[in-house]
Amino acid sequence: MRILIIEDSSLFAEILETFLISKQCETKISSSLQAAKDQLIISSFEFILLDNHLPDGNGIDILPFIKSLSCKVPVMMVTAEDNQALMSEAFEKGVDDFLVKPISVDLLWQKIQRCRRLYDQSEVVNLQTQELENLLNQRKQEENLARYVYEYTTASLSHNTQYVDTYIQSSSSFNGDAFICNTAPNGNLFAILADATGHGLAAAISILPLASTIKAMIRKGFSLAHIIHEANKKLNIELPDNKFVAIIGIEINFNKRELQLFNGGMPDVILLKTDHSLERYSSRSMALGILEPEVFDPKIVVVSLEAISNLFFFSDGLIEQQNIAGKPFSMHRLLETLKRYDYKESLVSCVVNEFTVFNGMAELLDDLSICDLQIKSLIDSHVYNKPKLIAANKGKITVTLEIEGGLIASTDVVGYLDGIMRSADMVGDLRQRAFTVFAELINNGIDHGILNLDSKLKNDFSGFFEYLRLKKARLTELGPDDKLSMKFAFCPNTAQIDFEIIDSGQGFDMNKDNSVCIDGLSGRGMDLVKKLCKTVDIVAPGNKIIVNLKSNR
Amino acid sequence: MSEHVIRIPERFDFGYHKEFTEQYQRLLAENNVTEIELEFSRVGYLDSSALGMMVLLQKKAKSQNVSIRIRGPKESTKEILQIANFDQLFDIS
Repeated sequence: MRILIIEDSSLFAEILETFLISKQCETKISSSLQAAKDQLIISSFEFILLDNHLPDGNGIDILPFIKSLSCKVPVMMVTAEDNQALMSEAFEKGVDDFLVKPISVDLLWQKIQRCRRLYDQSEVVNLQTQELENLLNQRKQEENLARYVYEYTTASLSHNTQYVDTYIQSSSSFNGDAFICNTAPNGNLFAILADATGHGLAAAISILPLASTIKAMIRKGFSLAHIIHEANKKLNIELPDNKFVAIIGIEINFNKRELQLFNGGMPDVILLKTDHSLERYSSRSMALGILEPEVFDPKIVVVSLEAISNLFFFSDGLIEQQNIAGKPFSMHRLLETLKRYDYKESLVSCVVNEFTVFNGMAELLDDLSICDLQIKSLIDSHVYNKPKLIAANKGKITVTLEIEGGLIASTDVVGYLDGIMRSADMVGDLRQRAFTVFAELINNGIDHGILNLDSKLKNDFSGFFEYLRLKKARLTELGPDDKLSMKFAFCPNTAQIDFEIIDSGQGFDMNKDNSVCIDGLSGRGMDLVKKLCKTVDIVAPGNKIIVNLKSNR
Repeated sequence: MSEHVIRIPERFDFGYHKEFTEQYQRLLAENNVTEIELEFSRVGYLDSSALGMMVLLQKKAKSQNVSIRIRGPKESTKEILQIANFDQLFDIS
C-alpha cells in the first residue's frame, strides 16, 4: 500500500514510516500542506495520514483538495488534539477516521486496513453499478431497435379490413400473438391468428419471421394447406425444441361459399349461426414447429358459409386470464357471453366489455387476442365489390425458350415456367392446370419426339421399367441436333395462356389411338392435356403442338 | 392396425418416382397393412407419370388385398384426378 504521511514532526513521521515499512507499505513524507499537494499531484496514494498542526496551516484545510482528486483516497487524522469540535469538523469535511496521539501502532494498522477495505469494497460496488448502467443502456437500445422492427412488421401484417374485428392486448411491450389478414390474388380472404409459447420479446421473436412468411405466401396465392405446411417446416427448423406456435388459419372462398379452417393447438374456434346456435371447432393438429415436415398432417376442415353469421376465435390468454379472486375467465363464461349476443354492438366489443368487467384491475398474464369475422357481412360486401383485378389492363407476358443437347435432360423447364406464372400473379387453379399441361407436353416431346421411345412399352410392369431404363440411357446421348422450342404467353385480362412446343423429333400420330384404358399404366398424358385445355392443335407431322388454357374463374 | 400414410409433396411428378416407389414397397412388404393412405393435401402439381405411378401402386396393392385411399386433395388436384377417372379407381376423400 502506498501511504502519504503529512506530518511536520520528523521524529513522529519516521516512527510511522518505520512501522509501515515493516507492514510492507511504501511511504512518502510531506512536512507541509503545500508539499503534500505537490506530492498528490505528481503521484497517487492508497492512504493518507494527516496531522492537523502544520507550518503552513491546519491539516483539516487540505481535505477539500484531497476530496477533489480523481482517485478517491481514505484519510485518517492523527493529531495530539483531543478536541470534539475539531473531530466533528474533520468528519464533516470527509475524514475517514481519527486517532489521537500518543498512538498505538497496532490500532493504527487495524484502522488503516479497515478504512482501506471499505474503500475497496465501495470501489467494486461503483464499478458494478457502472457496468449495470451500461448494460441497462445497451438493453434499452436493443429493445428500442427490436420494438422498431416489431412495430414495423406487425403494422404491415393486417390490412384494415371491413367486417374483420380484432382486439389485441399485450402483457408486456412485445406481443407473442400475431394476427394476419389479407386477400389472396384469387379473392379468397385469409385470417390467421398465431400465438407463440410464452410472451414478451422471446415470443415476439418466434412469431415475426413466421408472420412475414405467411403474409408473403398469401400474396403469392398459396393455399391454406400449403401455408400451414410451410410454416410448420420453417418453425421446425428455426425454433428451439421447447418453442412452438399455436395457430388458427382460415381461408374464405366466397365463390364456393365455403371456408377452410385449420386449428393447431389453439382454443376452439366458435361459429355463430344465424339461428343463434353455436358450433365449436377444436384443435385437430399439433401446434406448428413440433412435428417434422414428413409426419405433420394438417387436418383442415371445410365448412359451408351458409347460415353462419360470425366466426369467433381468440388466443388462450382470454379464457385463462384470472381475476383478482384467482378465477379464470373460462370457456364457459365466454360461451355464455356469445349465447347472449344480440348483434346490437360488435361482437368483439361485447366480449371485451364482459372481460374487462370480469378482470377488473388484475394484471394481464398472457397476450390476449380476440378476432371476429363477420361472415354474413363479408359475403354481402363481396357480392357488390367484384375484384378490381379484372378491370385494369394488366398487359401480357411472352417467353420463348429453346433448349438443345444435354440440357434437355437436366433443365427444370416446367419449374421455370411455373416461376414465371407465379411472378405474373397468376391465380392458383390456372397455374396448377398449366403445370400439368406443360409437364405432359414437354415429357411427350422429349420421350416420343426426341428420344423416340415407344409408349407401347409401358403397357406392363416389366415394360414400364424397360421404358425408364431406355429413357435414362438415351438422355445421356443427346446431341446438338436435339432441340426443344417453346413459346409461352399469358394475358391476365383474359386469364388465358397460349403455349406452343416444337421438338426436333420425327413426329408421331397422336390422334391414332387415344382410347385410354382406365387402369392402364400410361397413355393418359394427351388425354389429360385435351381435357385441361380449351383448344389443342397438333400440327403435322406431329412434332408441334399448340394449346390454349383458360382460367375456370 | 397402424396408420400407413404416404405424404405426397407439392410437386408429384417423375422426380418423386424413386422415393414414392421405395415408400410403397416398404409398406407392402409389411404383413399387417390393409390400407395405404396417400396424403394429398400438399399436392399442387401433378402429371401423368404421377398418375401412372399411382396405377402401378393400385395394381400391386390390389394383388395383396390392400386398398388405397387418396385423402385431402385440393380442388385443382381433384379436378385432374377426376379427369383421369381416378375416382373410379381410388377412394378419394
